[in-house]
Amino acid sequence: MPRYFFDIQDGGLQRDDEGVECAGLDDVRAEAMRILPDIIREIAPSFERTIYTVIARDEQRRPVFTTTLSIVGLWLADEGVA
Amino acid sequence: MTMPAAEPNRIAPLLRRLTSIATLTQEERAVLAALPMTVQTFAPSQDIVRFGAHPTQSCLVLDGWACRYYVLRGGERQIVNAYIAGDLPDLQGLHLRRMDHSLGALTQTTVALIPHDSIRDMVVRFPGIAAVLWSYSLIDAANLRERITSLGRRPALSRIAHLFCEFYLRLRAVGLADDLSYALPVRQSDLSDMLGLTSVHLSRTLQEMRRRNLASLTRRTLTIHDWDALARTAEFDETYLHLEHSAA
Repeated sequence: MPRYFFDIQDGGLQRDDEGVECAGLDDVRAEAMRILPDIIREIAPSFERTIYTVIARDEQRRPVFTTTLSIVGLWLADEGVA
Repeated sequence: MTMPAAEPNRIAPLLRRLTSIATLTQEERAVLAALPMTVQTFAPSQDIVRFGAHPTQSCLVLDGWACRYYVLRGGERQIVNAYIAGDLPDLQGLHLRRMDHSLGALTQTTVALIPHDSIRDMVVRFPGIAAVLWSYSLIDAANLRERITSLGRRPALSRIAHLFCEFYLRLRAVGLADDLSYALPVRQSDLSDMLGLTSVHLSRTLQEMRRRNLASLTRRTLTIHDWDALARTAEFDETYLHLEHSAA
């Protein structure tokens, strides 16, 4: 199975050197979409605003798919504002 | 009573495992060593016992890494626990007729298959062994409770750290780890499926773990750089392993 690399952009760029074997492009898309909720879920409690992007690349490092997830929190009452 | 000292080295991992949680008399050791067994080697990813099977023997891991797992309709696999030398991953088959999950090899794995009839006969005649096997099963259940908590609630870094701490103590109990280092010959995708993390998130978190100088996984060797810090990150408390006796 071909290997695809999933770089993560969160202000800086984190290159994926390991890669993941994917059966086809549907798998690449599914893998890319799964990554961000995993990451965001963990950092969400400590952020009010953040944006993450995944860029999936093939073995020649050509970008084939990208997905972005942002999380935005907003206080609606004065008490919450530090 | 004299028992034939049949292949004492073959049963050695089991004796080490059981004596890490309880005391066995010389006679009980001899009885365990005399159990009839067939040795079989499985290739990586090969099933040892499949979901739905009605096994008539239980397996003892002699070498390699095995796992209990489920596969969902979409193909996602959850590994619920990994088993190493000395473990009895399908002891439940003795009392629960039908396999409710699958048992497979993660690496090349050698197991000893022991007929259920022989185990039944042994536990009737030697209640001390029955008690140890019962303890072993309860500890396996404690292990799964800890895994549920990890998978449900621990963030990736502490979830991975927890597994690495656990593997260290379990491997050390059977003489397969020392000096805060051990062979972890499973694939990264196996670790992903144990931890319920995507491969990319796992890689990213392993890098973070190395950056914080907690532990590093290089060429299938796990090295713990700072046990206290790793255990603190994991909120690791070894009580659930019930390793009351140090390694033989």
